[in-house]
Amino acid sequence: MAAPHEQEPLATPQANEQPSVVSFETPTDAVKTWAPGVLLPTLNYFRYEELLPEIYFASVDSGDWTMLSATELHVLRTSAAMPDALRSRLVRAHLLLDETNIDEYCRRLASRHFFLNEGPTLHILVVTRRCNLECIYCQAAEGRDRRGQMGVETAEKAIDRALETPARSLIVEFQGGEPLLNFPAVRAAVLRAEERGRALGKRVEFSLITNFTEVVTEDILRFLLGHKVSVCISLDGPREIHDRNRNRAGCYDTLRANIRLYEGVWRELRSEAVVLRALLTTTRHSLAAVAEIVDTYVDCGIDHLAIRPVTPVGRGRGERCDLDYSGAEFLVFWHGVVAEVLRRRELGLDLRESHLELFLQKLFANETGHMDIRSPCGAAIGQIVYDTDGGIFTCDEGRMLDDDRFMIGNVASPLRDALASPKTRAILESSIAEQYYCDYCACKPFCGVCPVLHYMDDGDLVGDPLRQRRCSVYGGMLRHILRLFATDGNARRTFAEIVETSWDR
Amino acid sequence: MKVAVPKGVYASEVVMLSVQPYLADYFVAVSEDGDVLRISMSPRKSDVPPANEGEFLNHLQHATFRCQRQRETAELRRILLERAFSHYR
Repeated sequence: MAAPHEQEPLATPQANEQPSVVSFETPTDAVKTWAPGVLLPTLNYFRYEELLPEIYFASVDSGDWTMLSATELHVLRTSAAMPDALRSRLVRAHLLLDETNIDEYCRRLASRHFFLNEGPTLHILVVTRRCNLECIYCQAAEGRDRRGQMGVETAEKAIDRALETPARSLIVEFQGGEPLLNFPAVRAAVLRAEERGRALGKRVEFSLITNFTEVVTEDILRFLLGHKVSVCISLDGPREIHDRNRNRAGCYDTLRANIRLYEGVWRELRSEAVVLRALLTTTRHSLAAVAEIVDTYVDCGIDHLAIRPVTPVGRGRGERCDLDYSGAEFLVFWHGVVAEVLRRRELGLDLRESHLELFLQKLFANETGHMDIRSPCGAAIGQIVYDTDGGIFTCDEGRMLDDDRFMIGNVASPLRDALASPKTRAILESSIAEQYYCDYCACKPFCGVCPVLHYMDDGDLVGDPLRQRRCSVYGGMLRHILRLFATDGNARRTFAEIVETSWDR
Repeated sequence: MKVAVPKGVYASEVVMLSVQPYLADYFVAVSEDGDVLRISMSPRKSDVPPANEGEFLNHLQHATFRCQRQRETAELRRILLERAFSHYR
């Protein structure tokens, strides 16, 4: 055990050095100067909050974290005697920096922010604003250019711009409206990206989000699967919920028929196991239907749930009672889904949920992940949106507003012009979490703010993240995972399994 | 809820930090009165319970430590970030 810490005077830095940062040494430590003004060991800046009675979750900027008892927190708050076991744990979690871990901490800090220097990797082409459905929560329903359609020439120019990114590997995603209503633009963009990507030595992957209704044909599926376009469908659960959210009967049955068609074409063209991704947007109808929703997904052969709350953009911002639920109500629903995932995994089913997986990776695999849950957010530096008329937007949410506030350029000009514009810089700066209350929140290294939502709520890029549902939702998800980790051995084993599998992928 | 705290013990930045998490659910007023800061909170909606004074006082304790740590480590954080990103130059 280390000797009790006594309040001894700190070593005095040289006169020409920066003001001293408070050191946190015990009498057994030899105080070392690591950099002008930094004496080691020293207590890092950490954020903490009470997770369970008398148990605190504490994290640092590198995404390392630990749990502290009330007594241990008291030690840190009062510079009291520090037992060796606590000291070792704090060094491992980089809450305490000494000469054995400070360089590694800097490396982890850099690797966690690798995306700052990577260039945008996700390029979203909004090939049409039109849709054959009128979903009650549609985010894209009230944006600019509501009937717009992207021409083939614009689609090809968008691909040329996308390939100007310094990133060596990128994803081109097709969105709408319903993107399959403008299949010529999708086809042209895929062919152009394949050709130009090969010539430039860049890896391009494709993704397409569709409602999977009557817009799907076998020829379209042949093209998509033949060109390895990853298809993501909207599936809100069993027939009653799915069709009610779409304001139209029969959508669910059409979707099921299209899944069968998709599986048939896949097996014909590809040798690996069928993969179909799906998104579930939560409405009030979903909240009490956890088991039915999971059953529907399993029944459709989809083992990866992606549960999300309604984004308060477009029609999702309306005041329909179907969409009116609190962050707390959503979390109860999501907790139920997680419980179902854990239960069914114990029965041998390889079921996953995207936010569970994402936050596990953030907590256990030092992943940053997800464009809009990081700091700074992915606007422009992680993702770019090319609208139907060639306008370039910072992000998916930004293009859904009625105005051009988040438009940063046009496909007619080089991508560099858009990325380097003062407007882009201002938007990015407004998403740096350190300037908000977030800098005191233990969830900060795993979370992020959204300037678009600030703008919608407050008419300003800089707003109050605490007032937004996403704060309670993302923080709530993280805390739930941590509580399960701390109290439930089965969950802990399953989490390790999920991260290990994800890590391997 | 109405609370008065001594200015000599709780700096105004600590009080401002402590009231932040309450802004979503409460109307909050902070005023200066001689040697004390007065804080009052009333629910924005009828289904929100009144703020708990004890909870708020605990918030003040944690906020004091957080502000202190943020101040004491500002230079350290700057140096660590500079080191972490030095290879981007």
